[in-house]
Amino acid sequence: MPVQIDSGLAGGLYRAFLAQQSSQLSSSARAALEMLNEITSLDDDWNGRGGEAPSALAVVVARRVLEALHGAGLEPERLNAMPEGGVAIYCFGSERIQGGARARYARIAIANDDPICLTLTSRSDDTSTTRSVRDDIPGWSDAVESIGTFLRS
Amino acid sequence: MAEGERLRPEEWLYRTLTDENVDGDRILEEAIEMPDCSFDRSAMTTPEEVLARRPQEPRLMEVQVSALPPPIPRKVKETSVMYELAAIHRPKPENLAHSQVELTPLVGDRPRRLPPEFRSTALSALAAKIRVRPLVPPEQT
Repeated sequence: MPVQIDSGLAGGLYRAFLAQQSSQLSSSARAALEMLNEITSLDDDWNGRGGEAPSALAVVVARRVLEALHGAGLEPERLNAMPEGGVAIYCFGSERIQGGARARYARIAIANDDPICLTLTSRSDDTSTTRSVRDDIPGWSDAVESIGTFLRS
Repeated sequence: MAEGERLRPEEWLYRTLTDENVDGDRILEEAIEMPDCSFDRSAMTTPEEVLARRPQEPRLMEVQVSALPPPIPRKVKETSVMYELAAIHRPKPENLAHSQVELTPLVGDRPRRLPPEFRSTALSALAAKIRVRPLVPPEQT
């Protein structure tokens, strides 16, 4: 039987939890949590184009992925709400291409209703690979290792 | 210009976005949608009109129809089904310039739900072709 989560209650409790936790973290980790906190307060149609609010479960998973990233020394720079519902976490490499965009980036898409997807994009050679990520600690760790290898190569 | 018409290769597609989804002159994937993404066609509007319609999104992205990604293979069991990203005119009563980039199989109908990995692949392919216009500094008065 699927677990039912009251997204309003869970979102409120989770925001309070994030606020309490964030005081004990580094500035970059705190910034990521603040971005996540903002995303949890979005309602449906947050973008005026029918965007779906992230579910409480997607936010909880995003938090776990952030912990795994920080544990590996990776600092996510952007957390964005996904139009179809969910949270996307971005890590960038340091090199830039003409036009100012980062040459490499990793996107972890934590959708409300779909498996987690990891996309590794190299804008310098116009390539991109996407794969699903197992939704457990070994799965997240494996994804984080791939991101580290990709961004540092 | 009829509903369902394919746009000519020389036409441009415009759409607004927020700064959160801008990286240099490129976009992040959350600026667009898949399998159908709304744009406005250049034959029936201007970038200025597009920006004026959504003042909450101050940046403009654009892509020429000829620059849309080539067909993308989707593995189905032992075979591959090719999908294209086609620019189609989908006028709305409030916006006659409204068009969509639609992820469509070259043969047959699109399933109701596409696998998330494939949608992500198509999303990244489209995002890679889109450019963000630089901000125009306010006129010095």
